Amino acid sequence: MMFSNSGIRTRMGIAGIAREEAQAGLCIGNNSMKKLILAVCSLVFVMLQWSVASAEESGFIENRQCFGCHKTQKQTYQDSVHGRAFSADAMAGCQSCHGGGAAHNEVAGEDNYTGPLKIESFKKGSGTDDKSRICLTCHQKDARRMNWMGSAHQGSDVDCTSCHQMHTAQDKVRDKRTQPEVCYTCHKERRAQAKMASHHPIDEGKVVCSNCHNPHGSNGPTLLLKSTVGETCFLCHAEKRGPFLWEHPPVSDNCLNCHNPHGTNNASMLKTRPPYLCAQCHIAGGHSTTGIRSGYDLGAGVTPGGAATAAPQMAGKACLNCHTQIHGSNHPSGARFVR
Amino acid sequence: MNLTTEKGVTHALLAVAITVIGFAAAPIARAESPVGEIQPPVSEAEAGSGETVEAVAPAVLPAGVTTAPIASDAPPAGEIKRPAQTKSEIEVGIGKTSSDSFKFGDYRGLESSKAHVIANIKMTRRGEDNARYLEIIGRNLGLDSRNVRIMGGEQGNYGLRFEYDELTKLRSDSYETPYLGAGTTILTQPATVTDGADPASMAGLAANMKRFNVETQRKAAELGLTKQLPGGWDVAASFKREKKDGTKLTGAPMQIGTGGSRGTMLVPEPINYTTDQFEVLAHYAAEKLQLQAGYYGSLFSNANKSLTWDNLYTGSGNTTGRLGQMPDNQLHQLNATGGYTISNATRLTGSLSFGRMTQNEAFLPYSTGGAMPATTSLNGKIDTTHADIKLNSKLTRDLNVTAGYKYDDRDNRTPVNQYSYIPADRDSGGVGASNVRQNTPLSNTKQVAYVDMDYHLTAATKLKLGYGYEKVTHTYEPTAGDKESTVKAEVKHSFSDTASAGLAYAHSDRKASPYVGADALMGTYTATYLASLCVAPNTFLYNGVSTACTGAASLTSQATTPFLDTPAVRKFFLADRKRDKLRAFANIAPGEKLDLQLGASYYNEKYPDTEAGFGLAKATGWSANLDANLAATDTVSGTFFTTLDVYKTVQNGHNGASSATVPEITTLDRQNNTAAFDPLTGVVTRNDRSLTMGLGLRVKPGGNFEWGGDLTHATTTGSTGFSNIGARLTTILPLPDVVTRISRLELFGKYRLQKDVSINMKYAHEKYTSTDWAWDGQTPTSSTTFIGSNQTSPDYSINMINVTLSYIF
Repeated sequence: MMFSNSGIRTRMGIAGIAREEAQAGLCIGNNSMKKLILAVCSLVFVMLQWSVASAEESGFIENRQCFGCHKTQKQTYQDSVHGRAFSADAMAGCQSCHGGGAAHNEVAGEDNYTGPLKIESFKKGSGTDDKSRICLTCHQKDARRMNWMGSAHQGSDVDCTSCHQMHTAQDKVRDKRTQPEVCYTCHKERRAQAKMASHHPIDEGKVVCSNCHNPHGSNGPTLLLKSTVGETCFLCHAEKRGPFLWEHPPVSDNCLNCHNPHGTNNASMLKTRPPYLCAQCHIAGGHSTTGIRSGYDLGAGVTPGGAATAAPQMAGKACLNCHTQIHGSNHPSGARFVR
Repeated sequence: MNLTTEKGVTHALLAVAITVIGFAAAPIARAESPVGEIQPPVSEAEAGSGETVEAVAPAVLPAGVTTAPIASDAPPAGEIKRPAQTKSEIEVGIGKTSSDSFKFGDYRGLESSKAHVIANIKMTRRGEDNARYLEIIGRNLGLDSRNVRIMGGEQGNYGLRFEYDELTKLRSDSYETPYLGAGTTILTQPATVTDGADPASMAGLAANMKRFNVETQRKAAELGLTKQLPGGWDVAASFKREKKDGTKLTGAPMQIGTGGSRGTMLVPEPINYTTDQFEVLAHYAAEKLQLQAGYYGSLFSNANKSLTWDNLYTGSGNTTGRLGQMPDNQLHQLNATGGYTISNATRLTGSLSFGRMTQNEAFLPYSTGGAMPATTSLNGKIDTTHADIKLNSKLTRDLNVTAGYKYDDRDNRTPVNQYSYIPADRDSGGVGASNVRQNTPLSNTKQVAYVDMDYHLTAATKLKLGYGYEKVTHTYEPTAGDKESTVKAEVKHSFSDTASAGLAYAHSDRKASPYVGADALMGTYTATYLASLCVAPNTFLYNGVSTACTGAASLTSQATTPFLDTPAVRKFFLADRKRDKLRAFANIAPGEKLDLQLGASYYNEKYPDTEAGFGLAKATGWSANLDANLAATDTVSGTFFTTLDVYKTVQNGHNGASSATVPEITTLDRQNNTAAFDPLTGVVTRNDRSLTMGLGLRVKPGGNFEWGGDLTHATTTGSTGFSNIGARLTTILPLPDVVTRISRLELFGKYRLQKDVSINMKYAHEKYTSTDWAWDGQTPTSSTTFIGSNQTSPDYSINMINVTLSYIF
């Protein structure tokens, strides 16, 4: 058989097919045989055309027909990450995501047309409700997106195009310099915290949201990259992982007991500053009894009427002036974190 | 075919008719094009088999089926046919700031006022007829915050990735120290500085204070590769090495005399860290099932083992002090993740990991002149286990449910030994009972179970409900564990295409097992020492054994049970807690050109036991934000945002162990937190608030010139207040606020000289002011037991100008 449905996937083209079929129609032999061959060839030809017609009914058109109106998108698509996988000139490029373009092609060119676009446009408020499913057809198989279904973002109706831009060489959320502003669209508090006195270099574009979080879903708390807060922090702060001879319990429990990694007014991103932070747990005898250090303890040189001299529990790093190995000590004499 | 005969003509007409019918049934579609199948570009050169591709002539199309609408501005057919090429860009120029500033350059690498090179590149190349790609991205190549990424490979086959990154942390350029050898592991006292009983009597101290910049720099290089294998498998491997060098400030406590007095000062601790991270992954993906298994290793090494400094205080007999730096440690972890799509509506995911953290650095001696402990190293070992499973299902068109369970276990298997430590290198006086301690390897187990439901009440209204339960157990703590329940509810409603709003609320209730502060002491202190803390003839249980108190009763010493932290203290991360969170938002588009976003949140944490005792009693926070985006015209757009954020804590404290002043306040009063103890108590309230604002303008007239500007401002204020101060605390004086203000004005312009060449200019003015009572006004001699460093909180006012050329190719 010269022709089969697989011929549809060749690059012969309609003209080529027509030529072949036309040649089939010219098969000439003796009378009865001629008639039989003619009938068979004709039947095959018509069946083939129906198959080709099925391609039309499936809704796909030539990609270059999209570029007749959307010529800008051809360049932006080629520049994008998807352009790696599917060349802009390839049949699959546009319609892999937007769906078959035949129906859209029929209506979009009409003057004053205001009806449905008849194609997935991914614009907010248009197209299917669950736009992410189109992207997940390919991307759910990626290990980093395996946990998307049931994740915090998915449950809040955040779909892929809420954060990602397809038709661009510079998808903002995939560029550290511009990623924070995409996340700030919803997470306004983090925008304020990133500008506080002590902060990770988020706005500076060096340590950004995706350095700690996987927005596509994760098995850790609050979409963290790792299973626990500590494991995530130790990616960059491995010196604090231990094990240590003398452990500080709030450190072993959770870094967030004392720190807010998005930014705070206090040094080292502490939620509140020493000595008050330490006094939330430690009110013992001796010098650390004094959980109510005040301006008096800054000394008369700073506070009128203050003590003759400043107290080390207030000046400088306060408690950390002495208890310096506060994340844990491996020194045999470090039971109180001073060594 | 013989057209001269009637039959020949008949056959020819039949053939023509069949051809016409065939074309009538055939649409424009050249071929079926299922999603995911790559079709090569259509061009004459690629038609193959010598066949030419002919444009479809409208004449043969059946009625009702039109060609692609040819817009009046459509490019010529030849342009559409030409394969698309990616664009690349390089930017080179020069920049300068008006003055040096550590704070301005922090993280940015712009601390010097010398002219600096600006160099950025983004180059993208794709194979013309294959899926090969190469991308090179370089940022800030002329600064110490540079980053370079190179990615290449063949999409669908293999990929290689290399990244190099630098990051600087500039801590202080106002720090001063008298020590020689700053930046090394040995700090020596200059000959012109003499020991003293306090800083004021250390002759030569002030004159020898020298400026030393405290900063660290990270340099990281990472190499990764991926390879797709047949059958849905792919493998990936990566290696990353990061080196962190520089200095950070650390406290250097030193002995004063031979008793219990210590002094301290902040000294530069040299940092020389190397962290190596390895990862190997095998991944399988099919339509329904995805699996990944891998190994992750992290090796931390510190080239420095200790920091030694000369003791500047007299009478101690110690000439030096030494602390141990962070020890080398290792983590090895095996992990697996999987997902299975049970149906179009239901998906199951889960993961499992087993890790081991180890550390076995050789111990330092108890003191610089002292003995070694009996065990020479820790042989530390912590095994970690994580397991989780999650089921998500769209039960109906409007109802989505997710349920899951997580398990995390930290099993600390570090050996327990006894250590007789020497505080602050005080080699005289022997080891007191309070200094004989056992280490307490902390373990914990956390389990979380949760269920969340999303329900579309109507097309415009969505409801979310959720419940979570967490159970924690731990060792060597005042409690055995706790349980916490959380319920949450959220509603979102779209009023119209231009207005939507939402409200969310969550309540958590944590209940801890009975809190016994002294329990944590039993695992680390000796019975002999603890017995001395309470007065005879009382007894207490020491690890289940009845033990007699040995302390002598006095006017103030009357405790009946041993304690160190006041028994009524509740460590907040272990105590009962009630937490409420409320969040609201509204998005409104009053017109086509204006978008508004409003939001507010509030949370409140209460620690019921602490309200009657000591420690953190309450933490509250709230924030409010307003964002506006205005597309004034096709060429002019603007943005505005503002956020107010407040975080407040209330903690109960006290200011004395006991007092012999009549009426006496005894250790028993402290033990039982009686009314007699009230004159020594008080409440501290901390309030940290910030106001941030921003204004942006973009003008793109459509010609060769575009410009814009941004104005941002942030003010953060930290206040400390005192209330309910006991009658005996007469020396409570106000504290000034800690204030930081930053304002930045940035103007930029871009002019297109040619199609591919632009000149870019940027001007920025940034002003930063700060005050901090911990540093400002403190001199080397302000304290008798803390040698100050003359540090001040940073201020700067910087102008910066950048001029660059960019070329697109």
